[in-house]
Amino acid sequence: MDGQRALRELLEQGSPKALQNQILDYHPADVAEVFRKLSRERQFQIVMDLNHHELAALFEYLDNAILRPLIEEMDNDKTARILATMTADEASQMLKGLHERLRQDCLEGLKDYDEKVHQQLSTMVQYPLDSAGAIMKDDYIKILDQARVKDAWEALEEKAQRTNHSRLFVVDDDDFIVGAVRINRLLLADEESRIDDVMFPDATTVHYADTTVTAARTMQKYSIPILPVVNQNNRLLGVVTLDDALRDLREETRSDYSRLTSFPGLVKRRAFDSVPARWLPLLWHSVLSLLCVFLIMQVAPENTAAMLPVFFLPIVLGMAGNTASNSFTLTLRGIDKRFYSHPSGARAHLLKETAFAVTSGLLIGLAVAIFAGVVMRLYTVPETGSLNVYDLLTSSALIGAATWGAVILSALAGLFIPFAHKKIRRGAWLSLPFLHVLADILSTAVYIASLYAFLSWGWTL
Amino acid sequence: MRKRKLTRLSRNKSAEIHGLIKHERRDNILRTRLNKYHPYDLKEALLMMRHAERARLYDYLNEKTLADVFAHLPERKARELLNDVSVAYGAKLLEIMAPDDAVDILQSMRHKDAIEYMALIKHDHRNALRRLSSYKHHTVGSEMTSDFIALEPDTTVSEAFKALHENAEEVEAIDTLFIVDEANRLEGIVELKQLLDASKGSVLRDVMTDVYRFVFTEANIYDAVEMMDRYNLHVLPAINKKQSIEGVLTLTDAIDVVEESALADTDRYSGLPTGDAVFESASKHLKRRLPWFFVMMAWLFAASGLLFLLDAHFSDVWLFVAFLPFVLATSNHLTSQSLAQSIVKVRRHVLRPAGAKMRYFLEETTVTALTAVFLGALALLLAWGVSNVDPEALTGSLSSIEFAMIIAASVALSGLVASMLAAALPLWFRRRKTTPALFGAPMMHSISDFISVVIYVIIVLTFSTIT
Repeated sequence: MDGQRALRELLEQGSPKALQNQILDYHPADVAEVFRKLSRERQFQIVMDLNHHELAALFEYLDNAILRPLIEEMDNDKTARILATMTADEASQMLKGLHERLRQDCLEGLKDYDEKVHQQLSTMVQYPLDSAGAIMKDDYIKILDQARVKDAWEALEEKAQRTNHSRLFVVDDDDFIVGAVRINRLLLADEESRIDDVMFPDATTVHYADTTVTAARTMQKYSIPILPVVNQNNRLLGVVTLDDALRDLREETRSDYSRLTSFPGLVKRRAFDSVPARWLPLLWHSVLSLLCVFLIMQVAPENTAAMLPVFFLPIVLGMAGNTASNSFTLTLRGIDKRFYSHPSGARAHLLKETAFAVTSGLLIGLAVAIFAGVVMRLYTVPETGSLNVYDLLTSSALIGAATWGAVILSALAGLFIPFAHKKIRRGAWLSLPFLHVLADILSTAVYIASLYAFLSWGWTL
Repeated sequence: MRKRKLTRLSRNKSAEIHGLIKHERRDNILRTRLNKYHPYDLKEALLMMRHAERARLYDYLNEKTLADVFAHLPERKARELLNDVSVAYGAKLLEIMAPDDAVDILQSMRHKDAIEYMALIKHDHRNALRRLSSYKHHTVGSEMTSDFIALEPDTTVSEAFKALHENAEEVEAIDTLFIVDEANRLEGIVELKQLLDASKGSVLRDVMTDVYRFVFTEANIYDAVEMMDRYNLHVLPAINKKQSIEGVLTLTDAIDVVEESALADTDRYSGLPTGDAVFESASKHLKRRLPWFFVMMAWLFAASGLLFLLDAHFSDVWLFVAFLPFVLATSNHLTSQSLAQSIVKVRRHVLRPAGAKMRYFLEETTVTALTAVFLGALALLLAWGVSNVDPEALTGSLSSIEFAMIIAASVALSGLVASMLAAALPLWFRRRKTTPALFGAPMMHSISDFISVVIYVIIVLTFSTIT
């Protein structure tokens, strides 16, 4: 860890000269981690001291929250130079994080500096955030379908510096993608053979408006390290690469797990670090579950016997919660696998899960009714003695039916929340524990309402 | 006519393949077309097929493609489907596919069957497989690819290209060449772009980068993936203690690790059957999930039964009953947090070193205790507030602050006990074979409900006997 300490010292106190000389000894990812914790003034000082190459490398690893004030202070000329040095995808990500006015300023500055990059970035910032279009780069080699293998080699050598080499994309005269060639295939092929004879004729592609996670999953499924991004007409726009996909997938899986558990502090090495993240959802869920308390308070009984069914509430709430969490997880997983991207897939899933909820709710309700009947039979009310058979049957049936209703309702809530998730994008608070609270409230409401109805019809226990 | 039908289906490739197998009768067309599909699509199609259709597919695919298809299947499914072909052909497929995939399949077999296949695999392949299978499943060694190109530093660039030509068929990832000395110790790496840029006569020693990142084969795979993500690495060489290179971790491997581990976490947490079970029919789901529902219900029945048994004391104060869901839900949420933590810790194998489990458990318990105190304070406030909203709900001698204290104590204590259990169970009772339903969140919730009811009842009763 000596290197780490030296880096910290360099960034905290190093003179401009020392900074310029030594910064390249460290990986920008490490630099960024220390940089993040520095004071604003020091951060700005460092930005002034370093040149655009060094800054471009560093900026790739910094979040927009840190970059924004720095860019605001920097002169446009330097910003333009940094933007032109960064890879297109990182630059457009950075621009996206800025305010509209500042972004326009940066793009204006870039126009004078490098017309071509300006044009490319201006289109890229139009693509929605988290779409494949927003993270694509021009780091690829394309080749005409009539070309020969030796032309491909020439192209490779020419663009040796900036390119991801594992596959080349084959386009026709109109820049429409017609296939892909793996470099292994090129090595095996005869120099004179035509590209369209050696290519794989069916390039797997992703549309620019698809999400980055879709792109990542496609790459994972087909094990390809570089994926072409196309428009509706199959025209090649750029590529996304597996290293970006890795980051997106890791974030996505992390957020999925936090949807299940309501707090994201899981990657932390030490349990203590996660305390703040854990307390907030707990606070929110506890306050919410007070609603159940108020609901039950509504039926404060005249006689003790009338409240007997309330003692079955733990079973009802517990089973409703469990059914709900089952459908929640299954739906979430299905969405992730893009199984329901087609409406009919979603419909089939909804039908199946509803059928499941109805059947299992019926069985659970039956079990609860039998249990309730037996318990109430054994129980003697202090004032009135044992229950008669008719009352016993009707009240057990009512408890069973209420359980059935509660289970179905909660399961439906569990089915639809994950779909809402994907719509609300950052809806981390719509987590599984939240669903549990919701299921509790719904079930209590159903249960108490049926109890009410029961009592008001004039039946007694 | 038939041709048009097939092209219309072409949006769904696996259905298209299935259609070809069912309807197309011309051998040569089947042979050329089927081998052009991506192994992933062929795999998806294979999963939809019946036995006879599968046999037809095996006939038309060449060995290399079929091996790739099997490599794409989940291990257990691959093991099952290997029975479709003869042992000799199966061994041949295992030999052709990437060694790490073959090892995964072999390891999922019964020992006896694995030996049978191993006996038919060529000697040098067999040794590679043996070496790979000796790594524990959470190490870099178990996930890395052992196919890579290693050259000596004195090799010239044009010789390197020749080596690339020779290996292009066998080795998947050829973007990076590894430069090793005679003892196989890693000296540097050469990327394909450096090679393309260099003059043909120069030697690799002058072209290579001698500063690079590497991992040990015994290192934790999740740390390695984190390193690749952090430093944007495309390949990460894995070396053994003698510093000789054993394999390479590629981005594709890393992505697979991320994807699989995420699935494993959610499966274990949600207590649902693993893998593609999402796609099963409703009745199958019912058969699979319902028995567990009844086990959970048993805990809840016990809780309700207890309430009935002691209701005379309990129901004097209606508010105690009204607060029951609140107490249960709050300790439930604490439980799920501890459970989630433990599941991830266990899966990431960060608790390997001796005493690490105990240390983590104590740490987690401290955090839980702190949180329980926090929740207790919150409950105190809320219960006090609610009992003041409706003072009539409190009967008898109970003051609202006493009531609030009982609720607070119950919430804190039941939360602590239940979540200690939830933190401990995955740590000490995890076997790879146990069904996730046993210690998943739903089951833990039911147990936690039971515990909470017991503690709640005890506290209420103790209090009412004191006063």
